[in-house]
Amino acid sequence: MDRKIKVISLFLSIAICAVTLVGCYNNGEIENLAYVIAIGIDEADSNSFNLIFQTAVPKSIAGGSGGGGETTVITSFKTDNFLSGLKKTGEYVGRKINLSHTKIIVVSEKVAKEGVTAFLNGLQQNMEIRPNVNVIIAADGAKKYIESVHPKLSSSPAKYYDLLFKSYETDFLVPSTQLEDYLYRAKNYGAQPVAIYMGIDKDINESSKPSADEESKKMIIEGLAVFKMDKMVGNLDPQEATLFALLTGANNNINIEVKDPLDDRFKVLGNIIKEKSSITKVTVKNGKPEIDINLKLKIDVKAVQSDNDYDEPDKAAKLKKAYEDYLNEALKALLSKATYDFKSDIFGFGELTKRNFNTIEEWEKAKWPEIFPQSEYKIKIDVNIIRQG
Amino acid sequence: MKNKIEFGSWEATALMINLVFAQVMLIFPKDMVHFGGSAGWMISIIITLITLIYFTIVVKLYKNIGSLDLIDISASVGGRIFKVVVGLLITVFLTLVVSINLGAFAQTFKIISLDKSPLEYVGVLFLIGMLAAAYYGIEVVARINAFLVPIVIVGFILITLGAIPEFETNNLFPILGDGYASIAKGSILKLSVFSSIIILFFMVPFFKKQYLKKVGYSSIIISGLLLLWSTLSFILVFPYEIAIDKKVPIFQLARRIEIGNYLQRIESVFVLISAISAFLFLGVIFTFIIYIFSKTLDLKRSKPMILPMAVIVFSLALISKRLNIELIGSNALNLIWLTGMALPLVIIIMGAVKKVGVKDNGGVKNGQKN
Repeated sequence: MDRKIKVISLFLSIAICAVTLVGCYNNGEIENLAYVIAIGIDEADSNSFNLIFQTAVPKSIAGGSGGGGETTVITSFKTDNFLSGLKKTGEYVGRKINLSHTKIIVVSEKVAKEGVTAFLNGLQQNMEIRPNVNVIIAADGAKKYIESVHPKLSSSPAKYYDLLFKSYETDFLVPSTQLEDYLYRAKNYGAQPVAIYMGIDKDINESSKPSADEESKKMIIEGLAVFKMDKMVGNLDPQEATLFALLTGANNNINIEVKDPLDDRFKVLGNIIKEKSSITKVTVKNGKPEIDINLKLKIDVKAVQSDNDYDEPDKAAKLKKAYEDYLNEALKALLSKATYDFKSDIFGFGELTKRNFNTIEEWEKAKWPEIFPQSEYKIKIDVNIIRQG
Repeated sequence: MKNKIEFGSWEATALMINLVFAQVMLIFPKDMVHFGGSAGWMISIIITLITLIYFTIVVKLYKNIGSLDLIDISASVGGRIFKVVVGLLITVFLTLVVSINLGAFAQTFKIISLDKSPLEYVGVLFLIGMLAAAYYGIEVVARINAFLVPIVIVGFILITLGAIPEFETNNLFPILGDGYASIAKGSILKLSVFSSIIILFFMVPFFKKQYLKKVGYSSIIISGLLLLWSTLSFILVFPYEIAIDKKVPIFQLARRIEIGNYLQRIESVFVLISAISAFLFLGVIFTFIIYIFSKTLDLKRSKPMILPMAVIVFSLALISKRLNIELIGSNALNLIWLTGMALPLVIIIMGAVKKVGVKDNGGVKNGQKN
C-alpha cells in the first residue's frame, strides 16, 4: 500500500474513533433532559430537608409552538440526601436530570447555620455541575427565594441569574462565593467561606401589581453570609461586603460614596481601583499574627452632587483625606467584626501566612484558626484622586 | 545492511513526547500533588533531570553499539535464548503498560464524556485505533505522530494559557510542600513517567544513529517542560488541599476557564486532544509490542499476531478495571514501570562491555516483516 494512503487511512481511523469518543453514543437530546437551573435546600424535620429544583422549560423559553407558559417548573421533595432527591425529581418530570446549566444553589439561613458541606460535597462529585455556580443564603428560605424569581426582562431564567449577578459586579460580588471556592474554604483553614446573602426588600414595588401583595416583596442581595468552616456565623451588609471585595482584591471596579468634605448635605461617588503595588503581609510573632495592610488606591470621581470642583488641587486634597478617613474607619470596623466577633478569616490571611512556613506540616502545627482571632492589624491607606473628562 | 523502514528525527521526537505527555492527560499532575503537596512541581523538574543524566549515560554506552536495538544487543550478548528471554520480558512489560493505560483511558472517558456508555464500548473504540496502528506499522504510526502531536500540545497549551487568570501564587506555599522526604520519594516513583523511553531503544535502527542524541535529549527536555507546566498550572489553580481530590486534572483545569461570555466550556477541547493523545499512545505501544514479539521469535509475518494480542490486551484492561483496583498511580505499579528504564540500561551496559556494535559492525537486519 502506498505510504500516503497508509498515513491517511490511519489518520481517518483515529479521527473517526476520536470523534465517536467525544460523545455520539451518549446522545443527550434536549427533549430527553431536564435542565435544573436552581437548587434549593430548606429545613424540614430531623435529619431531612426539603430539596427544591427549578427546572427550565425549553419550549416556553424558546417561545415555540408550546411556548407562552411558565419558563420554569419548581418541584420540591423531602429527602435526607441529595442523590435520592435528584432521582425523585427525574422520576417526577420523566426525564434525566442535567445539572450542566445550574446557576445557583440556594440554602436557607436556618440550614446554613447548621452546616451544608455534606450536602454540597455530594453535589460537587457530579461532573456536570460547574465550579462557578453561585452559593446563596436566603434569609427567608430557599423555596421562597426561588419562587420570587420572575424575570420580567428575560424569557430565560438561566440568563436572568447570569445577569442578576453581573449587575452587582461593580459592588461586591466576589469569586469566593462560588461553589468550588466555597467548598475549599469550608474544609480548610487558610480562608473561611462567604456566600451571597439574600433578603426581601419591601421597598420594591412593581406598578403592575398592588403594593400590598406579598409577592411584590422582592428578594435582593443584602451582602455576604459569613461562615466559620461550614456553619454560617453572621453576615456583612452591602457596605461591608464592598470593602471585603476591595480588601481581598477580588473586584477591581468598586464604587464607594463618601460625604462631600466641603458640604455634608451631599455625597461624592468614586470608582475605586486598587493598585498592584498594594500589599498585605502577615507575620506570626509569639503565636500572634501581625497583619500589615498597605492599600494604594486610585479614586476616579464619577459624580459630585454639590457644585464643588474637585479638579482644584486643594479641594482634591480634602476629598483624598475624606476617602482615607472613611476607608480607614470602615476597614477597621470590618476587620474587627470578622476577626473578633465572627472569629472567621474570610479575607484569606491564612493563605498569605503559608509563605512563612517551609512545609505543610509546620503550617498545620501553627493552628491558624486558633491564633487568627488574636490578630493585630496595621492599616495604611494611600488615596490618589483622579478626575477624568 | 540498510534498514527497509526509515523516518526522521522529528517523527521519533514527536512519538516519544506523546508517550510521556499522555500521562499528563491522565493523572500525572494529581500524582505530583499527592507526593509533594504545594511543592509537587519540583518533582517534575527532578525527574526530568534524573532522566537526562540517565540518558547521557546510555548515550555514552551506546557509542560502540551502533544502530542495534535492545533485541539485537541481547542476541549479540547472550545468544538466541537470552534474546528470547529479554524480548518476551519486554513484550510482557509493554503489554502490561498498554493494558493498564487502555483501562485508565477508557475509565477517564467514561467519567468526562461517555457516562452512559459501557466501559467495554469505550475500550473497544480505543482498541480499533490500536489495531489500525499495528496494521499499518511503525513508520505510519511515527508519521501520524509527527503531525498530530503538535496539535495536541497546542490544544493543551491553549487550555493552560486560558487558565492563567485563575492562577494564585499563594498556592505554591508552603514552598517545600510535604517536605524533602516526600519529594524524594515522589521523584523516584514518578520517574516511571519516562518508562516508555524503552521504545526509543527500539527506534534506533529506524533513524540514523547520530540522531539518537538529538531525539533523546529533545524529547526528554520538551516532555519535561510539559510535565512541569502541567503540574505548575494545576497547582496554581487548585490549592493542594483540593487538587489531590481532582479526578482528571487537566479536564478540571479546562472547566475553570471562562473568559467573558465568548470563551466558556472549553473542556470539549480537552476531550478531543486527550482522545487523540490516547490513541497515539496506545497505538505506538501496541505496534511496538507486535514488532518486538515478532522479532523476538523470528516470525516471518507479524500481522497475524495483531488480533490475538489485541484480545489479550483488552481482556487484561477489563480485568484490571473489574477487579476495581486503582492501578494507575499506585506505588507498586510505579516501581514496575521503572523496568522501562532499568532493563534497557542493563542490556546496554552488557552490550557496551561486550562491544557488540564493534563486533557486528552495526550489520543487523532491522526491517519489519509483514
